[in-house]
Amino acid sequence: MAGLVRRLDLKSADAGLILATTKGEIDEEVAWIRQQDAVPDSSKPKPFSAVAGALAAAVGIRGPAYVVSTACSSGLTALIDAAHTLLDDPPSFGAAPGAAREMVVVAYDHAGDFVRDGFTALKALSPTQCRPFDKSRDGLALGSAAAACRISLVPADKPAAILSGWGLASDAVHMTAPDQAASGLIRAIRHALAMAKLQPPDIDLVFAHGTGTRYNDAMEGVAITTVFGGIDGADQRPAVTAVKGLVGHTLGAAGLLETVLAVKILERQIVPPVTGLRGADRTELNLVIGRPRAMALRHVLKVASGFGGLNAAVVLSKCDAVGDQEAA
Amino acid sequence: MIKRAEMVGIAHRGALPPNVDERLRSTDPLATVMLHLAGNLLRGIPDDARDRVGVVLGSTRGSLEADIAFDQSRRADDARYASPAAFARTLPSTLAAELSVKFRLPGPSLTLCAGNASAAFAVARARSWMRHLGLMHCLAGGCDVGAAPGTYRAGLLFLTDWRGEWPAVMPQRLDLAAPHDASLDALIAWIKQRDALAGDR
Repeated sequence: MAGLVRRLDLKSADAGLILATTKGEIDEEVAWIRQQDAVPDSSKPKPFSAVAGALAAAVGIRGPAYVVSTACSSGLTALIDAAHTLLDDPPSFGAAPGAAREMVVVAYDHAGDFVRDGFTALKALSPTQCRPFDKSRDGLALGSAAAACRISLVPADKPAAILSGWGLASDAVHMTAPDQAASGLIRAIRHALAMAKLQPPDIDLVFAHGTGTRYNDAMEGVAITTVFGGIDGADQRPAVTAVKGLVGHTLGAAGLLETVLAVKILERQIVPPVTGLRGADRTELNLVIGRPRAMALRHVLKVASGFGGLNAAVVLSKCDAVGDQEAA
Repeated sequence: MIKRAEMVGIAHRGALPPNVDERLRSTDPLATVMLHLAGNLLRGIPDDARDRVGVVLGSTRGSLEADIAFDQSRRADDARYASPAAFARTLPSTLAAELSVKFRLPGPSLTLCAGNASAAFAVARARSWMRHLGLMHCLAGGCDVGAAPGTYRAGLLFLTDWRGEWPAVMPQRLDLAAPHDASLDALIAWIKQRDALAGDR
């Protein structure tokens, strides 16, 4: 992770760091648990935030460093909290006079035995292949990943993308199963669009959470259809893609990893297909199937949902798209 | 922006408070403490105010007790008896989610860890979130297992934007356990001091 952060070319050591993860250093914690069972002592496991402090020290970041953990929406929630921190007035933390204040967001998770046993117990793992939005989808595949990005209010050079809007909302219905009415995700999406001053037809691509489970993908289908279904013609609605069929569900890293991919998609103007999808169960979704799709992209909506009904949505926009929108 | 803050701080050794509403009990004792606190703070909240309430909690240990429970359940017979219910709780955000579900709070939720400053960070971030997300209220504070086995510590504030019209909730009895999260300790001490200044109500 230190290597990832160093590649971000921070302009100042006075940046802040937010680390997003669901289980953190779980292997180390399990080792402590097992050791306590064998020979109890007075030692304590490291605080959950220890890795954030260690990472900040390793890369020379002097601003606040802490962990955000909101299940599988951790990556997007951390990105949003970083944006809030930069927008705080008075500032949440100090910086050298005239220096651009920056925040670094890092997300990671390791799908080791602990996590794998848990999802097996939940019967959530696919015995075949993760196929988001497919009518015969049968579960998710786990993945381990780390991602990092740097955000600032006043970029010194042309940024890769603009974070033009965001939203967060809870289902408030069930501790594990998503709300089948998708009420939380719909609220988060609508807040993100309103903040970005966009209407549903302005969104060119929805980068779904797309875990490949029956319940999550059904919920997301409801959310996307509810928000964008008023646009006539499925081919006029935003394209929909998801990548967990390729990279797996990387848990707390997923939101940020897929946001970084969304930025790359905006740069290259090519949308990857939903890996593993053969036959969609909701034909009203404009899913990208089989082959990459070259298309004009100005605004991408990225969403994520997690256990406990925690939903997050961000709008990523090309720089010139934001300029036009403000002029309008 | 925030001109009113009412709070409840409570920590217990072992047994839970005798007056816990049965509807607010959880399989997790720490969650039960937090639900009890939040129940006191949210008493009387109108339904149309619930969607503008955020939840921001700080924790140093994450889901440690739940992790222990799940790990114990998965060790026998190649995890054949791994408990799905126990695994579902192995997330630091479980408490915040449980508050949202039990009290029907569909607003934003954040769980963070900043070591010994977790509770203070939670309150700071809560103020930030209220401003940037247009929230009217926010439950903010810290919760953790205590230093001694079977003890739990929690402190919770109910933050209200100055435009809020919902009446304040009175503080509750406080009992300190061993220090753990230093900022949580400071939060609870402030609650106790405020309680003492207010006198009996």
